Amino acid sequence: MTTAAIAGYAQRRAERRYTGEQRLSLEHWADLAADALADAGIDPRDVDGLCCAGDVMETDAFLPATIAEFCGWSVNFAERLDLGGASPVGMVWRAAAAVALGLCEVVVCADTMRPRPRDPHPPKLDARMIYGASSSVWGSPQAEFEIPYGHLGQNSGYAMYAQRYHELYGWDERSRAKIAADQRVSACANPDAVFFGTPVTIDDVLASPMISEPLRMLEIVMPVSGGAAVVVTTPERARRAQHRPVLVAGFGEHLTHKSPTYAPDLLRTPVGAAAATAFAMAGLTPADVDVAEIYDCYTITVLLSIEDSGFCGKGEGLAFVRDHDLSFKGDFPVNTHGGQLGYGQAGMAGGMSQVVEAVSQIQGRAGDRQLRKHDVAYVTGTGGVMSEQAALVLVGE
Amino acid sequence: MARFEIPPEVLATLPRPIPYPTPTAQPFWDALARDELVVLHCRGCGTWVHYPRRRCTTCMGEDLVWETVEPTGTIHTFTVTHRPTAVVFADEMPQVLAIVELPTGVRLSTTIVTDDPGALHVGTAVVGVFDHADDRPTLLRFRPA
Repeated sequence: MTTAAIAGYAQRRAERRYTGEQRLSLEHWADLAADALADAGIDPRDVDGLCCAGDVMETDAFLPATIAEFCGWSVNFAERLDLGGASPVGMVWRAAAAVALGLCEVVVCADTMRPRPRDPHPPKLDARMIYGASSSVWGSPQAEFEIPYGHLGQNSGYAMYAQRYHELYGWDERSRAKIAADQRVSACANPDAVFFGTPVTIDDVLASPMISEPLRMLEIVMPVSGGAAVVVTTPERARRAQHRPVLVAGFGEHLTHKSPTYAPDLLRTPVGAAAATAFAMAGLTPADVDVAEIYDCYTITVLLSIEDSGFCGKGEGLAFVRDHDLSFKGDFPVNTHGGQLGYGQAGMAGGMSQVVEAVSQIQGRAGDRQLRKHDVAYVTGTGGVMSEQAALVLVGE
Repeated sequence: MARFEIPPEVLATLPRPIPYPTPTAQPFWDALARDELVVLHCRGCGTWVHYPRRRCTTCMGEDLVWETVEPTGTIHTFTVTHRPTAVVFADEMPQVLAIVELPTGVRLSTTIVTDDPGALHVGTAVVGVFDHADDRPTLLRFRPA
């Protein structure tokens, strides 16, 4: 499928402590949209589609209509994604599909995670707020069967994937740690990354505090402020824009479970089906990929995604990582912006950072970390605890 | 991503989360209270279904019956948590969170009761520990067999 393309993007610097002006999420969202449209060279009056996610704080419902109203857009296509970290990749393919079907021509997809001004009337505190993505609402399976035991959040879930992986395929923790160290090399070539100027070694990763065995602190993303947006449009419009058109050549998505307890097969992750669909649609194979931007909330996510996407066989991931340099200088570049492990995770914009980096590489705009061969990018998104995954194959025209 | 900063003094007063049974799952909790484990079994296609639902997760049929099964199984996977997954579990550190698989293939979210987490592995045989308390439904934990 090559009837939609990404024409431009905007991305905010990752910051531990945001120093800019505090604005409403809606305002940050509109800022990103305006900047991405300017980057694409597309008139904001031409926007006729939008994709958003639950990171806009001002409303829990009717968010797409609120954004359309706020930005002054009349849209034929509006989606609010609820796929956690897979939402940005899910946005891009939904936008591409809508464009390909002729529903719309210019779709803005954006995620924001920057502070708002202090709310003068803060809502009452609610115990639910501490349970995050695990629903503590009465009747939810998590509330009844998971949370009372302590099964909640992300760290312990991903740790259980890692534990089973290592017991079945070998305890090579240095290779798992190498994912974080290699990506940090790329972060050190990216001035916008939160860990720019802070290299780490495999030993540093292994010496960092244990959080949930076997995962250690430096294998887990750092929350930052930030934001990212892309503009999806027709290939014709993208050709008239100022940067190289990035064709959305293939995509896929797969979901099976919310809690790892009920995964059909813990170590055959949903991205496998998503990748197979995406590569088949693009008429390409993993061997054709120049750069892989793989959702990396944890090191184990990258390891499982490399395997299940087809870059190596099941159980071969640790050897694959050992045998390849994953940095932007390497023979198998993964997460050339540093990944979320090196760049920082600005909420759902973390997943968009992977899309933006793929586009940036394909368009030849990646600065010091620019790859020499940069025509085909593979991008993944992961939400929940390897619960929901989506994949993109992006090709430079 | 939390929407609001929660003051530590408020966090400290949060109650430990407990199950509030749904009508569908009430027989499961009632069984645990009498030291029994019951699992739903589909009479249409033979699938074992947990957590409790009204319809089968294979054929979507409604002909599910409760069957009493032995509270034994193996560790499918686990993690020893060094940071609490929520502040209310801080006094249980380290917790051994686990997924236990029953011989029927059904998996449950639970914790492992042990003084020696280092001895645990994927595949370790475990037996149920019915953890009764006055102020909440019985929880089903497991210990090495």
